[in-house]
Amino acid sequence: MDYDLLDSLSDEALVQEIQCGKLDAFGILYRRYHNEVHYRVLMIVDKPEDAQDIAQDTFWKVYQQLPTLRLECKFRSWLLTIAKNYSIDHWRRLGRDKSFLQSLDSEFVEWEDKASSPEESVIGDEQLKDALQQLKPQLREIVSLHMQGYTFEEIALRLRLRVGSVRTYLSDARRKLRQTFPSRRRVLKKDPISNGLKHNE
Amino acid sequence: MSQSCDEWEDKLATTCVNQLSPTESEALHLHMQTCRACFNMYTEYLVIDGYLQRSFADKPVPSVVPKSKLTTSTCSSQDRVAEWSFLKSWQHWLQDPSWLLVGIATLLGSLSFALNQTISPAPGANAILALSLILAPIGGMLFFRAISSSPLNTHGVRLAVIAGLSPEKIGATADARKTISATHVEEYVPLVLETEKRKRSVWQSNRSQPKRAWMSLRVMFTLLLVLLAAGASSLGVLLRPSTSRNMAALSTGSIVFDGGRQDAKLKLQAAQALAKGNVAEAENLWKQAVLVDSGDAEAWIYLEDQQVLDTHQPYITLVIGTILSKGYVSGGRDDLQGAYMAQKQWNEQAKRSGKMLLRLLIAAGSDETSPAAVAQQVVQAARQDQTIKGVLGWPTSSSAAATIPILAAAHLPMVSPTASSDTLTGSPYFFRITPSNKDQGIVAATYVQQVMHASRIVLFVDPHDLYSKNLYDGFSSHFTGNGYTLIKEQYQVGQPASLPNLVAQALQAKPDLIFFAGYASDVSVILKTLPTCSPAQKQCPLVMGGDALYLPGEYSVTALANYSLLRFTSSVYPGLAGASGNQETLFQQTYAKDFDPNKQYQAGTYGYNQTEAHTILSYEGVQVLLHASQVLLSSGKIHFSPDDLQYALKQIDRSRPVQGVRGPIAFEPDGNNAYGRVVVLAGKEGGGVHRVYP
Repeated sequence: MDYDLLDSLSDEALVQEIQCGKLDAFGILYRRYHNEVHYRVLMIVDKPEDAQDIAQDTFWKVYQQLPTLRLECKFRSWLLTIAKNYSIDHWRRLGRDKSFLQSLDSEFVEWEDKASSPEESVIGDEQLKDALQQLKPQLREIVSLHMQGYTFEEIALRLRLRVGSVRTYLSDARRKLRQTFPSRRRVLKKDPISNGLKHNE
Repeated sequence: MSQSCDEWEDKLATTCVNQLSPTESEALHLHMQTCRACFNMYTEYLVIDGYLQRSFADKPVPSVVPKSKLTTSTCSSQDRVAEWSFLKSWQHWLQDPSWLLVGIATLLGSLSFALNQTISPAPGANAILALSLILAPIGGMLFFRAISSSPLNTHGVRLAVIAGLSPEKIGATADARKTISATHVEEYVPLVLETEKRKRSVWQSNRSQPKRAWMSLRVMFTLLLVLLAAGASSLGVLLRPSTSRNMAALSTGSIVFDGGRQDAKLKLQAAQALAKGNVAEAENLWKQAVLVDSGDAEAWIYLEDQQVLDTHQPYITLVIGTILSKGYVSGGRDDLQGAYMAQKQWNEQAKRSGKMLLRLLIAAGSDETSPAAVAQQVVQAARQDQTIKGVLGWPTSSSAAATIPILAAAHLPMVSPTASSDTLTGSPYFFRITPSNKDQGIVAATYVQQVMHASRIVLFVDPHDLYSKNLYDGFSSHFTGNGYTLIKEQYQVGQPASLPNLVAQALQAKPDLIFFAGYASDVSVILKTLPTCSPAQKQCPLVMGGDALYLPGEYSVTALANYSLLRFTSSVYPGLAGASGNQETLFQQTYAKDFDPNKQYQAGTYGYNQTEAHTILSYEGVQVLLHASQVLLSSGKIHFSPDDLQYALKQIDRSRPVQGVRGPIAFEPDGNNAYGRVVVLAGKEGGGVHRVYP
């Protein structure tokens, strides 16, 4: 099944695909919802880094439960419920006002019924766009050609570089783009595994 | 595949997430189950790749480079340097203007000869045609050099510019470099990359002289000649040993029909290498292709064919007439797999015993090419290539009906593995393996009446499709008595969009059964439309059809949820025709060995280690063609004709059957399989079948 066909499937069908061993389907689900989850959590927590952590915690849990999951409700509702629970845990850990938690509950219920708007889905794109602009023109060009399907050899021929150099430049460029992520910025200072994040539940 | 976090980080830094191979993807997901850091990295690259795709590709990065991209990329700087070196190498001994006359004469002579051959081709003239087309560019070069005044003048530099090379790199004189105008650069170098734009701006600063009008004419004329040369060179495919390689719908590697597989890019590159005459590279690329996708019989066949040619031993050719376009891709792949298995088996024995080898020629055409047009090309190829003896195909009733008269007129025998319409019989050159619709209709009707006790039946039929109409007639003719209510719904084969509404209408009639006279890709939509429920639940009518529904690869995951509602007739099922279990088991084992040699896929994966019904029928089709060929060869007819083969096929009757995978195969005088037994199979939820009748 190709990517376009996978992308056209419903969430529940994608879950079935994952359970049948079509692991690429998780990528579709992630792309479909990570912006929304991040955005929803960002509305509640103060720091973007915390929101990113909670969103990642949410998907990590989803990822681990998917192979054996028996969906009894919509996937999106289930996903947002997990995000909600992590957000509540976060608030409790910070010892914030409990009355806020009640309003949070109702707000999360609304999430589950609302589809994300197009504006919300551009979260992250601006940062990536900036990061891309900051790349050297040659690196940008290599990324562009690579995304258009050119092989390393073809890029090397076009840009008159060595194949090894193309590989190195592309690797540098993609790693620089990864620095855009808040969690990644912290990783530079701290080991990701031992940075106090909540791991596998 | 076990890799550390660092290795995965390196991998994802240079590979888009959805470009990982299935093995890599599986290994990464396994790793991520216990590695949070890699999961985070993976999701970050998912976001990055998503953004980059929206920004640069406007769609997900294809696992296969699109054809257009490939064309661009293969016309790379390296190639252009090579071409330029070739042009440049001629210049030193072509400075004498007297060559002008020779050049013009060669050019005109070869072009006119090529034109004549194209309009009225003579058998066996391809080598001369190819030679003439090679002489054409040489003539063009002679002319080009004759009108040039220096070894590397302005024209030469312009050529280099067109070829994407810098004047300095090719050693142009300073004067020549100066005459390169910005207009030329902009007009003839359609490059958009930033580095190349920068180079252009440097070049533009060197221009100083205006052009003269007559010079423009010379440039235009030179360009025309170069274009002619390039066009003629691209037809180098004619130099291939097979005369049929230049047929748009026939291929032993020069065309890629099945472009929807993981190895499509490699097959395309192999086809291009073959077109350039680089057989070794093509062979190497096919070997890579089958490593990437071991279930791709098209690549296996091309590889085997090339190995046949490499031995320089005598061979016979069978044409595999099939369909590899939307709606029948799965069936087409089965046809190729079955044919390849028979080819491999035959050639292994032939190499040991020094017998005639077997080459397969795939005849499929593109989406726009009708089977009749493909059959015309087969006939044309058979006239030029005496090794072509017969045809396996075509697989559907409509395609078989369109091709039978064409092949019969050319006296080419055809054995269809799966075409079942009753109206196909009558031609002495037509034989088939699968039972006819009439036989299927009898068994289906008996099952519905005696086992299901269904009385209210909605019948889906496309009156314009031969198979659908004939199956409908064969089934409905048994429900003429009282006590049955038949409701007819018309649909169009290959147009599934209308089916959900028709199903909704059908369900309002509260039928006991929906009889679907059509193909798997369409019934898949019906199964998807029906509410998910088990056959025991009364509100879900069963769906029944003919043998064309036995193509598991055509069903979507959501359709397979209702697969248990499906019943269909089939002539393929373990133990069906009384064959010994050993033969079926052996076939299954050979299949898995051929298409999953490295055991990369889970057991029971269709197309890799689990055979489909059509594969067996296709294998048996080639098997009878080879049996008939063997009879002729054994009798001393080394150069037998297609007519001889047709005669030998006729001899395969009940008294002299061929042992197939499922049991004996013999032909009735009308070409039908005398041992075509039919059963009713039922789907299992999620896939798989079991026999329910008799």
